[in-house]
Amino acid sequence: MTTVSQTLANLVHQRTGTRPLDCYQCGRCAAGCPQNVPGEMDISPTRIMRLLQGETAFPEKAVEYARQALTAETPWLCAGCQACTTRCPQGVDIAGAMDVLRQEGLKRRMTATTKRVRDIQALHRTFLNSALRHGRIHELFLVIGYKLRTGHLFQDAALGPAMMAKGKLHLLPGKSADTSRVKTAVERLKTP
Amino acid sequence: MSRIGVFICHCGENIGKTVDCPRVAESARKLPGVVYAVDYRYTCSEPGQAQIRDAIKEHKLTGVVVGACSPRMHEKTFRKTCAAAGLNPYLCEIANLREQCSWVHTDREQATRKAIDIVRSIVARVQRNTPLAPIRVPLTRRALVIGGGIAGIQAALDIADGGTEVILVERTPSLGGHMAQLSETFPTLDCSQCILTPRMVEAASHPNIRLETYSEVEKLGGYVGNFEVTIRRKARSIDPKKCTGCGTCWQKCPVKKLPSEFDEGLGLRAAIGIPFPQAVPNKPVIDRANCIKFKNGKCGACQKLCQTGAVDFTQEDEIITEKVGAIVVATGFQVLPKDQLPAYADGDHPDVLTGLQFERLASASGPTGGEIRRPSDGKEPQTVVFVQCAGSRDREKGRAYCSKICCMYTAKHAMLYRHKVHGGRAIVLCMDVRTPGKGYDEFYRRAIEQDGVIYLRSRAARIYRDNGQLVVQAADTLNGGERLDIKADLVVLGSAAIPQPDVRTLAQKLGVGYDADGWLSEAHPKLRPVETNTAGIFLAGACQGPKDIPDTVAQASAAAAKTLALFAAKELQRDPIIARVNRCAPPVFSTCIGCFTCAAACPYKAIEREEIRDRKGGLIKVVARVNESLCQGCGTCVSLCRSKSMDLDGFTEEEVFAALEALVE
Repeated sequence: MTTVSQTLANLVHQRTGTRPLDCYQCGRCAAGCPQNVPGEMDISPTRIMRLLQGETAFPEKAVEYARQALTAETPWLCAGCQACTTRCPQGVDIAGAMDVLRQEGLKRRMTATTKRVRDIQALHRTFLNSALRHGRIHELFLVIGYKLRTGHLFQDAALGPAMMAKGKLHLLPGKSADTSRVKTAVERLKTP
Repeated sequence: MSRIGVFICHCGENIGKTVDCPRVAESARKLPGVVYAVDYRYTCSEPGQAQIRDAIKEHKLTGVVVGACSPRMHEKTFRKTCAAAGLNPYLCEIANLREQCSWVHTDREQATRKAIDIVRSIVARVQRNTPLAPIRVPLTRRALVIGGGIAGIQAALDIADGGTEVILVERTPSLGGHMAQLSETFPTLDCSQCILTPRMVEAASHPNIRLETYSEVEKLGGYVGNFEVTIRRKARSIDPKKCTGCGTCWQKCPVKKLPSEFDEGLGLRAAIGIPFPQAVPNKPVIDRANCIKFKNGKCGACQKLCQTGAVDFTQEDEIITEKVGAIVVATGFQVLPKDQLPAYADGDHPDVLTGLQFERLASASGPTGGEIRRPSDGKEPQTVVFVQCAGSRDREKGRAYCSKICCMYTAKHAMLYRHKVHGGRAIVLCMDVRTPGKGYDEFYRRAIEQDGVIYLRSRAARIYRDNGQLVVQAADTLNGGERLDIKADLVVLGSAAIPQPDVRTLAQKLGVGYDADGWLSEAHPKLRPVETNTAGIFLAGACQGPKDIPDTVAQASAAAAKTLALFAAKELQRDPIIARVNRCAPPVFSTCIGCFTCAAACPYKAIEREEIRDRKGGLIKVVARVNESLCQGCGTCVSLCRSKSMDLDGFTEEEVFAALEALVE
């Protein structure tokens, strides 16, 4: 029964300690989610939970339900604000489940492919690259990396001089005090 | 000259919204005989009643008219108020401004004019009312309980424990009812029989309870405190005094393949026997329709083998009559037969079970000893689909009401199945899940969270056969709603609870009401939930509406309390609304000519013959006389009397015509 141990629902259980099975579809997460508004999430967080339940309940449809959950824009539009997790009457870590879906989506190369999801993924990548390389974020590299990855060259460009004047953008990256310790931590993160 | 007080109630907004109450009071003030009129927001409240009491004293009122709701609702209340202030209660009348005016009209002006007319009419009537005194009637302190299920058993035990004699009538051969058939009970999963059978034995051995099993109520006469009930003891073909319940007869009976009613057709029984091993009383009954002896006179094996000579083929039905003071109706319910659900596998597939059939399948005392094996081939089902709302909440093809118990028993069924078949899949199809009750929602969530029962939010559209495979058409509407055709090895219906098919006949015999679905009607849905509109007849359990065991037991105890409260009185008082034959001065004595048309028409047999004699004992004439304790005040005799010698106290012709004339003015 190898397929069962790899269900998304099981992964959520392993990594968050809470079960999508416990969700009783009350809709409170959807009702309070700042991103579950017209024009944002394509399916509600409640529906994501139901897909994970369906994945367990119907082995014959598990692959399809998992695909629907992974390829939704919802996990990527989740801002991680934790309102859903905080409010869930059944104690399900919905925001945590979104993390699992993002990780698994990238790992399985099965995510939404809309422009805005690709932009979001680009931001994540640039951010992590910078953090992993320097141990901290260098704003200018972050901006440049993001713009090169997405092609949004002039987006928010007018804000640059003002930020520079206020000392929010530095030309050269700073380094954290002990990069070797950062490197060790990063290596440890990479090996599960 | 009469001094009438008029009190117009707004009933919050119920009357006040449609009727201009101050105007009605004002116009009443101008009526002849009225000395006081006032309107108030809630006349039935304590300040409202105080208003009436104060006015009676202050204005020396000789009559009171309350313009309010139906007299059915508060006539008693206001008459008591008047009595408290020293006014004869029968000098108080209700003008119905709610049910017969504000609730049925929308035009404020017209409704107000109608209210004024109604009040004028009742004022005219009250001026002619005469003081009456309640009639005292004796009381038989003995109760009848109809139905030997958990409701009847509980009611009988509580009444008997209160020191009152009880006759417990059950139409099947044993006590127990549906509860005896159940496997385990939600939400604690304790075994149904384990908690019920001790109560059955207790009822049978209680010194104050007389069991009449295999008996039915034939007829009911009399009235509260003084009912006379006719009971048919059906012929058991067994002498219960001789029978020891040894079981030889049903073991030796050659007719063994009859479908067992107790096992809902899933098991077999003989033509003689007890319905289940724990039956109370433990005395068999011969099923005459299927017994060879009764069919063609042969066999008689049971009689030959019975060591005590208890078998008696010549026994006949026995009719007995008993006097009782109060009646508890606890006749229970039935489960919707599956043949009424043609969309579900044509309603006749052996592997589509009613909820009650699954109870027998899961019961340790059932035909499979509690193993879940499907009826068609005895295999253990790997996928079981539970279909909720099978017949309930279906206004078009079934019943509009919610059967209340199915959500919980389905959760229990699915749970029991998962306990017994570990690898099995239990899928429940539901519109929603209704679990109000202590520990109920927790129980249902346990089915999902701990026992892995799968709930899908949709009604089953259809159940069909595909090459012998049962397929349930469903959808998961919470997941996009695309169709799921689920292959099922066994389907269990959350079958609707329905009234006993013959309950209307019984209700008519007893004179109690029932609703369009056939559930017996309580006197008030909130405030008088165990009383019927017939005094002295109470309701317990599912005959009044679908109910689970805790609610049934609670209602049965409530009915017992009502019975004991009734019996606590020394004697009963009843409204003196009875017919009366007039008497006048000699030599006429009465205008009654003694034709006795009234006696023939009286539904209550309340008309007697009275001989009027002179001082020497010589017969002058024979006239009719009304028996005060039998008369129900229906007025049939009054309308039929050719010599106009009858009148009805409280509704005299003078009073009624005065009310009518005032309307015509």
